[in-house]
Amino acid sequence: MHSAINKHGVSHAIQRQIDRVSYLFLLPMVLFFLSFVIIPMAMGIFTSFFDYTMGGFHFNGLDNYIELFKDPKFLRSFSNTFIIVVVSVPAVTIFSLWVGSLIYDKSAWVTSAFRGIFYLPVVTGTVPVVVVWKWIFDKYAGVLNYVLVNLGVIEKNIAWLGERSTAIWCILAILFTTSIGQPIVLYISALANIDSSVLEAAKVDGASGLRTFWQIKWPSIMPTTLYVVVITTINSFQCFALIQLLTSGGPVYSTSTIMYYLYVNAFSLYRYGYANAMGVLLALVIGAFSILQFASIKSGVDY
Amino acid sequence: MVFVIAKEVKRNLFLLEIKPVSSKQPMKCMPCPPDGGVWPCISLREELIWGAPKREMLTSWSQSIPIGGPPLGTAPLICVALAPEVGDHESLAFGGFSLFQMVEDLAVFILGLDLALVREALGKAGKIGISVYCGGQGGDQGTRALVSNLYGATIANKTNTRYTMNSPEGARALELLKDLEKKGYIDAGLSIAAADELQLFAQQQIASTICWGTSNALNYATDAFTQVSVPFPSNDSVPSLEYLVNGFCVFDNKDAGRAEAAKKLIQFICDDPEWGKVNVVKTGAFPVRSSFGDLYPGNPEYALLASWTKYYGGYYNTMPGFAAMRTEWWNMLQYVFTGDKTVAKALADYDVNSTPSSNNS
Repeated sequence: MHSAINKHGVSHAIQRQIDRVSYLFLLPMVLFFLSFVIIPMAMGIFTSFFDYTMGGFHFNGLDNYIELFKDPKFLRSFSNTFIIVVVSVPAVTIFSLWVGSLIYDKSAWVTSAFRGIFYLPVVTGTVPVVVVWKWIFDKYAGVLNYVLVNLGVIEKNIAWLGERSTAIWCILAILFTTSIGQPIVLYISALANIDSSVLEAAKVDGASGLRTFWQIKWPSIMPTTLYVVVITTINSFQCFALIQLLTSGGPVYSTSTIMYYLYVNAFSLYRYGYANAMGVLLALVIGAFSILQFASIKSGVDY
Repeated sequence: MVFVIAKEVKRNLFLLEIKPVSSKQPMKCMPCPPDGGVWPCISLREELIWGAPKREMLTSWSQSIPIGGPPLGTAPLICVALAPEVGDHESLAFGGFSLFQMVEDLAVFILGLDLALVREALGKAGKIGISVYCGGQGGDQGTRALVSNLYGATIANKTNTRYTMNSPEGARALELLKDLEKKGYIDAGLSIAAADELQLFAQQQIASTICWGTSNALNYATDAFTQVSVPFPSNDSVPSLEYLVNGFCVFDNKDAGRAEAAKKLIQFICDDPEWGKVNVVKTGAFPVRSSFGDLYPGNPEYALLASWTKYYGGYYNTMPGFAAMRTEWWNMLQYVFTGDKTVAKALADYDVNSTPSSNNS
């Protein structure tokens, strides 16, 4: 009797059995992914071509998309989102790398302490963090005003979240504190994992600290940098909770982001089709940015 | 126009200092009612010899200002300004607001209409008079009631087919608020919504709130200060109050039996002679039918509030475009206070964007 054996030395019958079991293990996650990611995404794309409100569902072709580019509130939200991405991504990446570089080779206790401190806002959750920041920025009894007035920096209390000139920067400051936790932890790990023999060889060869960083450490942590940049970009594009909890997009739409404006249209104005068109456009923009980042950062990365 | 400072020199005895705008009057001592209850404000006001406020408003307010209540050292600061007879531009703003907060042991009654004095008194106490909050949608009915009442503007027309704030009355009210904000008499709450404003009121940072209701009165019940309800200010002294119809709805889920059962339950909750009343009282509301009678016997505050139901204005919450109008409203206030748009432009845009269309529900 000839029994078919595959390259792993397992009979085909047993391999089929293994495959079946593997797919069965995957099935719950696949169903979950299909139900809550793929199908809603498809529905979102589909309904973005409809005038879909609480009272109607009519095909309107590209009207939603055309309206987007004529809607000054959307364009304002788009530009605000762009500002948030452009400011926060480099700031988060550079700061995280700087902190990581400073503490990765310290004692385990010190490294863990800093990791804990910087990661605290991430594990605390957005709502409590935002509530605390709201108290800090409060115009009437906020600690920031109290300190600045008493130091003589400002004469009277400022509505930090109510002024066009300051509100978006307050949002960026909070976003920064909640975004740096994970990148710092990743950079510490990445820097600690660099082969020490290479670093020692560079040192023996007389390489300066700066040169060691740029020619050995930086290329070695490039995959981490790529991940940090892509994830921070996506998170920044999807900035919503801070806006919803702090400013409702105001004053005069100066902090409105695409995600927030999408929410307003979907859940305040019940314009589901229009909101879905925004979602599709946002996904395309994020996709384009990610491809761009992969293309520009990936070069020279050796996985 | 008078400015009255009442200092509680000992339990139930107030020293009233009357300061007209032009000259300082001699001090007066006025004992509080022996039962420690509500001061007969009409006689107090007659004693103070001030203008000629509308009798109807005086009567309603007289029921709501407890003077003799708080113990020594905890007397509240109360600022009550009356709607003026004449349409004085600045004096109008505080007409109808109750501002009452602790200022150490000083109870201040500002019964006049001079906003500079009000501002000075509140400023010394580190307080803000009112905040026209517009940092979000929450509690927007309060700011709408404020703006619409000032000069008799309306939110919607009588047939509930169009929003009507874009009117000379509405523009005048917004110009007034903008002007007052510029002068520092009121605060533009660009970073707060009603919940924040109520919190600030409870914390005694803001001396008055424009989003008060019976549920708030219960939630924020405190011994720290006395709550005094007054109608919104209006140039004609006749407020138009917003109200909420707390009702029920039955889903049409294609099952007549279920719908009937739901209707029966609702009928029981609303009509049952015993539980219908309990339902209203538990929600801190007032019945829509007179047959339930006085559900809050012995509660002068609720009796006063119940008497104001005659001031109820139009009900526009079910109008088409209500959701869009709400979103546009507080943003319109932001445009006005930041100066990004003129009042006329802000109102015109509000009008266009909140006009019912197929785009909004």
